[in-house]
Amino acid sequence: MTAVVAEAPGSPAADASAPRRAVLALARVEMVRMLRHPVTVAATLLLAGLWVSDWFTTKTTRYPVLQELDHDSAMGMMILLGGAALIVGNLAVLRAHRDGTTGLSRVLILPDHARTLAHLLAPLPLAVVGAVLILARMAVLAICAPAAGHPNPYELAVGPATVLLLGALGVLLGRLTRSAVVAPLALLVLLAGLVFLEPLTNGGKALWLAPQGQPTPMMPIPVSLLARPAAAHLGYLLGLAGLLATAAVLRAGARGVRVAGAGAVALACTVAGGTAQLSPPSPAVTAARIAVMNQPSQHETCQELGHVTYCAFAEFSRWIPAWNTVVQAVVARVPATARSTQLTVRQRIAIPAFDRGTGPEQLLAAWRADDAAAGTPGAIGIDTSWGDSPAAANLAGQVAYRLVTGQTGEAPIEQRDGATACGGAGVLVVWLAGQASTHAGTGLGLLAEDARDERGGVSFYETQRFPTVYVPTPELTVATQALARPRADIAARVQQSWATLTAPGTTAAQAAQILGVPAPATSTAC
Amino acid sequence: MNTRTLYPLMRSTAHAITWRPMVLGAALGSAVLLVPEVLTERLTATHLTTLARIAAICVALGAAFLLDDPATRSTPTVPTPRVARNLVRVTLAVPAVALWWTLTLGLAKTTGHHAAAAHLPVAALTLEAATLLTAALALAAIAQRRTADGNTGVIAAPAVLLLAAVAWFLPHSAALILTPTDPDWTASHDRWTAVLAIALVSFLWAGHERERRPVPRGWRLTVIAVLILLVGGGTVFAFRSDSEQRTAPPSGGIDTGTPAWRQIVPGGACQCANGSRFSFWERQADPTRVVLFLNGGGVCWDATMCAFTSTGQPGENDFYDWNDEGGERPYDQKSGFFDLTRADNPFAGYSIIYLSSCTGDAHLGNVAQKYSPTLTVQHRGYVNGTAALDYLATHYPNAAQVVVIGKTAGSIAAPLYGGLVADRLPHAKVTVFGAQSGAWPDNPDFNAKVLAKAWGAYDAVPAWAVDGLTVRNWGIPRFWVQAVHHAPELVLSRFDHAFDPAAAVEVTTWMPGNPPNLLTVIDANETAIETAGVTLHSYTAPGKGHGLFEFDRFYDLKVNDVRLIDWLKQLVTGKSPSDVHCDTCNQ
Repeated sequence: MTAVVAEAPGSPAADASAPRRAVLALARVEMVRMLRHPVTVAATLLLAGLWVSDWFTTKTTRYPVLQELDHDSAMGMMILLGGAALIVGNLAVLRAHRDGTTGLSRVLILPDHARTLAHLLAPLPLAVVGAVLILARMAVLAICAPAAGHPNPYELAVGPATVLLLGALGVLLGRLTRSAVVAPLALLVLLAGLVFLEPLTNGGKALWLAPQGQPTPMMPIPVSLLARPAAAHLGYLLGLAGLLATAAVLRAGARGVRVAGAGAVALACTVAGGTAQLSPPSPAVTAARIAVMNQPSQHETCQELGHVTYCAFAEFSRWIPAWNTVVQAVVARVPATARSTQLTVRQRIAIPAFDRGTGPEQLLAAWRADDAAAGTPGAIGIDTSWGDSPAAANLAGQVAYRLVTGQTGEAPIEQRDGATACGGAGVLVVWLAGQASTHAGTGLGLLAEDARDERGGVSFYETQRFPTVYVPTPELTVATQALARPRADIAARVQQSWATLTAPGTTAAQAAQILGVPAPATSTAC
Repeated sequence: MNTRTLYPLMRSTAHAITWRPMVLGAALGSAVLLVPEVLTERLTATHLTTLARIAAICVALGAAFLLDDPATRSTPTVPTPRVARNLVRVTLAVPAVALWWTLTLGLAKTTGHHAAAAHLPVAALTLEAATLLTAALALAAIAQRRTADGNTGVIAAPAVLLLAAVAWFLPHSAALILTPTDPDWTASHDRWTAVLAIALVSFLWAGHERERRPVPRGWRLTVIAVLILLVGGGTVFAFRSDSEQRTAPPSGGIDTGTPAWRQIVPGGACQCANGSRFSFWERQADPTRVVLFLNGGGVCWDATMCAFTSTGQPGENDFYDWNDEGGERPYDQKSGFFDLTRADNPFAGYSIIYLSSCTGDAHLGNVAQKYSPTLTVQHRGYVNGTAALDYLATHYPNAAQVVVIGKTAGSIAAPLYGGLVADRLPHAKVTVFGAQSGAWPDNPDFNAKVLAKAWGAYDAVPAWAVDGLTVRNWGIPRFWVQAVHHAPELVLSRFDHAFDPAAAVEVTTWMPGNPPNLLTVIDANETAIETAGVTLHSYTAPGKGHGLFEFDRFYDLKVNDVRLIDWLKQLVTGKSPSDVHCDTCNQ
């Protein structure tokens, strides 16, 4: 009996494919065990729940920018599914030790390294589950919402790749130490890396060496400007996973050409991917970034809806109807005679890192020159995120200012705080902005609370960076009270007294009287 | 169980506990918090709070293995109930964890120059860490009921992580993990307290064995009473100390959620060297006590020095800041003078007008200087500075005390600005503290070439400042004399490091001696000023140090047993401090 069992693994008489079949059989068992493990199930449900709840709680998800959400989804997957693969894989490797059956495995047909190989294969179905989840999320967002842009398939594949990487790490840790606390601690180190590596590297290229890679830019940008080395990063992560796997089987006693070959391929993959991802974006992309930021008009397509021209980057054009709803809600409250102003809404991006040589003033000047060249002087600026309430309020406020004063919100370049709207005009601007939709009303409240303006009052922003219109506190107070009154009543008063309200000399107190609300306690000198 | 069995039980339990996971968790937890702090200064309070939370989870993971007992199968027969045995284990571990937590957070607060670290919400984080620890123990105790082999950690540790993940992703209305600046911070800690209570009850409940003699009633009541006292006391303490921290004088940090610095763009004729926008900064606090902080920003007087090239920050060359983007922002500086939450900061609670020079003329010039066909520099520092002064006078009409602080090149003009403040706010007590420019010489060539010609300062300043002096003899030490002749109530003071190599490097060629002895120049200047009948309080520190306001050295500096901040406190509270001068100055 003893002799038979001892001979079995190396017996020449045994079927040559037997060990492989045994590895696959064991891998199948481990795969099922990993998928059914409570930690895996909980992590998968948590991830799916998170994405579903995002749809209901994060307003910008209703206007998704897919080239941002691909990275975001992959990171969520790394933390939850990758974490599960790490811990469950590690527990599986340690099972024999925990149950005191290490000795038994010596007499089994499969040597340690073959068992390790089976453990390394176990996260594959979990990675497939991850891929299905991430594809489903993208599909739902692309189909059910007016999505902008498109996801990068390599960026999406990073999610499942991290599941394999962390799964391999769990197996390796199990082979290195018998302590079950090490794998969860390793996950915490990874999480700490998500927190401190960005400040440590100052958001630089070195971040690509960490699993998370560099963060996406501070505001969404067209796909062509992103130039993220996602494919190289994917190769780098898979190479790393291969290296960890090789280390695990080496540690378990495997030797031979095939192990060395696998290790060499993984190393080559890691080095090639690792170096490729560190190369800077091509000069063409850098030039395109500067050009698109400074001269947006040459890279946009425009369309006219209800006498308003909307210019957007091609991939964001599905948002135009939503912008138009807000703009028309403001226009509708303006008497027909006062609607003569030609309105243009133009999408813009402003990312300082793209063009270190251009300061804020130069950028604003470039935009003005660009608008003049495109024949749309004084275009109203809007950025590349939409769906949250402040975005609606910012757009409505700028449109209202344009209609009320006939001017753009362009203050002299020296005054970066934007043009001030006071008196009756200021009250009208805020009221028009706040009544545009319930969304814009909420956004107005948030903008007014915004700590950015410590003078009090409210500023409406272009691209979240440049305040273009400022309305002081007394005007804001009157308008807020008017917004609390029945809309039709105030709208009628506005229609009737439009000329008086917009006249330069009208004070906030007079406006309050016209609108039938209490006068403000203080007044602004304009 | 009674006290007779307790001691032997504790000893053998201490041996039986597998300490390794706890030690690993604690070591890693400390590293997670402290290593990034040492490596980078860019961490904000939010980063540090998150890292402290991860450190707490690390040790909670270790604690999940605390109840591991390979001898579990034999314990149902022992007379000591499981809950008592668990409590003994916890009693042994908790002091060690508490000590670790205190040490780690203490180090985190003192490491480096992080203002953010000083504002870590320690008490609230301690509540969170205690909750995580208790939850880990409760999960381990629950795992005890489910396993026969005593391996509780392998169940409890992943469960701790899952709980933490759930906590991390809770919707905002029920959130546990918030940033310290969030308005719901306190409410979230009520929830933490509730979780702590649930975890405690679960721990006690899970330790109870079904088929066994219950723990003596008195014992159980004592334990519950002690726990309630601990939780209640700890929570009250947590909120008291954190709310004290919140009501402390606000700091300049934008990320600490305290009243922040606000940028003021005066417009008008104000501009930076290249004609671009000029701005200064304001921090509103006490309307009756105001600091006018004249920051440096470098100086220049020829085509090379004044060129609009950027070598460091955009807008900053090796000699000076030539636009608004160059130069230090007050909110970026969080230690030393700028740590305005420190109780020992003599200027905590003061409103501050922070004025950085972007004109290369030490706040003195008013001329457009053409240095080359392609380089015209707007030396408009006096225009910019007086715009800030006017703002100060308009917005702080009730200021009873104004302290004009000058830093490096910014301090050259400090006495003149003291006089200008006295003109605008005749009822305010005005104190001038000029630091790190004591070695700028009174040299006729320098006076004529730079002050008068390059910067146009002689023509820019008011008549009283140049009264009785020609272009060639209107030198920097004279500024002090002219100021006090004009406004005799001014309190004047200066600070220098004896051999600060950077303080006056630009003007070395105009100093006597080759190489000049800086301390000799400083002392000679002071003698000249005091000979003219002016009281100039001075503090001369030894050595070659350069920075002062930007470092916590501001609080530690002590010469002849007089701490600089005590000296400054005396100065601003109207007492006349004696001059402090190093004995061995070349240390």
